[in-house]
Amino acid sequence: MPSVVFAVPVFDKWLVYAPLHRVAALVNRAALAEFPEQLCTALAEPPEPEPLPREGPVNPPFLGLVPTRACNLSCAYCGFGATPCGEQMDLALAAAAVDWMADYAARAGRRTLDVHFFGGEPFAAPDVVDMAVHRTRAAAAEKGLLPRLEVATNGVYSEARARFVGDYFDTVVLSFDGFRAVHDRHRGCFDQVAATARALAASPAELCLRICVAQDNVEQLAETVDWFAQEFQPCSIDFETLQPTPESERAGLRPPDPYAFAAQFLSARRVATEHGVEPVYAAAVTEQPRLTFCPVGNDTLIVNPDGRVSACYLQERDWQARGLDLNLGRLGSDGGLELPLEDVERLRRLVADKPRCRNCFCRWSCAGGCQVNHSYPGCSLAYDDCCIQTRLITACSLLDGLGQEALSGELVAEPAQMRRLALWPSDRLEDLRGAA
Amino acid sequence: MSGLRIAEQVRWAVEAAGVVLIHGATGETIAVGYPRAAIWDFLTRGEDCERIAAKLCAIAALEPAAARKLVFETVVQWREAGLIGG
Repeated sequence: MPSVVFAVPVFDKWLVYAPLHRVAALVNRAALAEFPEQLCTALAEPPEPEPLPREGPVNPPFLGLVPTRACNLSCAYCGFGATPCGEQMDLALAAAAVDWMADYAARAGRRTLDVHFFGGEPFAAPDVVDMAVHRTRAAAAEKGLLPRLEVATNGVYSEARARFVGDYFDTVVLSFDGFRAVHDRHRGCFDQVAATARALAASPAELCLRICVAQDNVEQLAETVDWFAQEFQPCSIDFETLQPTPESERAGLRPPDPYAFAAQFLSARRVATEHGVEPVYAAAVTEQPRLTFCPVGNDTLIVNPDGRVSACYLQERDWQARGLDLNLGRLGSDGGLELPLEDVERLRRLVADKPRCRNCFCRWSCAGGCQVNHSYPGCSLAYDDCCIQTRLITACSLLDGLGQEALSGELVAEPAQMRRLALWPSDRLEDLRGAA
Repeated sequence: MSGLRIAEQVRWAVEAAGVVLIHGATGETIAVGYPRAAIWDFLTRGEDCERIAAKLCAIAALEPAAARKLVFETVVQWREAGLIGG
């Protein structure tokens, strides 16, 4: 019998899930006590190894560049405290970062040179982005690597800039919260963002639209997705629930009810899939067991405007407020990278220790979510809203994968059943069998 | 040099290793690698040669004089080839 099998209640049945075997099944209570032969056979195969913290020298999947923390917008929910005129990364520092990553990628035998841009708004420092993009492409060409450039952006800039973004980036994550009234309430500049989305849709770049879901747009998700798909033909739509900040509170914006979000996400997902658009709720991706769903613990190097190298693109003060130190080292304009391995290893171990996740069937897919806002040291052991919506969406995804779409639809229409599944105290099969 | 513009009959495509220019009138295809591919990008965005040269210093690790020389030589060459006007 494998060591890690979970089971969660779905009406009078049980969803059995063995993530390390990539096996899911829907069974009745009798079958839970004694698995049917087919399930026993599947679980008799050797499981994948449990995901463990990385080991050895630092091995970054990509280089993160924060050209500036400045931003040309003042979104109602943003807690970054960004202003239009913040510090910009020195060009020599950005060049040194790209060169370091290019050398590393070539030495490591990689095929691609991956550089991701975060902010603030990266294009609030346009010269830094221009330089880093072309330096990346030049370095990749010189070393026989394929450049892979990604940017998270608000889309508020000129048509010429939008064309550049569409031509020179492989993936563009564009923040777009929905119809005019919602987007303008949340972020502003609807017309300009829609124009950028159209320009990107017509470009070679892979367009990902990112929706911040709050109470005021959660009921519109399916309609929003339908409109997005028809108007902008994105490759994917990423759904993120609002992270409360003092700013969002002042603006009267609140996170959605997690049960409502789960139900509405699943409706929206069906619409997206019908249009051939990939719907993404990152915490519910079950493809590959993992210990972390974000850059933290993954060896990612994110270079900040001041040369600090961190594992997280959030502001330093945000993680310090949680008692975390997510700094990894420092990069100088001369290319000197101080990256103590003990700091890398400290963060690798950090993501492996999430007490709340121990008995949760999502432990290797959600992997505890955001280390700063959700799974910080000393956080409550009780399931919070993020856990609730993730557990529901993951369970419904597994049911859908079993051809049980009707059952997952019934589940999210029954509040009591949703609560029962979402708040089930331990999903470990041995705990359930022990209780019986 | 300022006021440069891409010739109307020229089309281009951004590729991993640079840009490919297609001269609509002659059918000629020209592959442009780095660092000159960056010059092409800035010209398409209407930037003047001095500013392009300043950016090229950081992109290609060139001294200012060398960057300026490369930009001006490239522009002359592309102008002679009918790829840019102005």
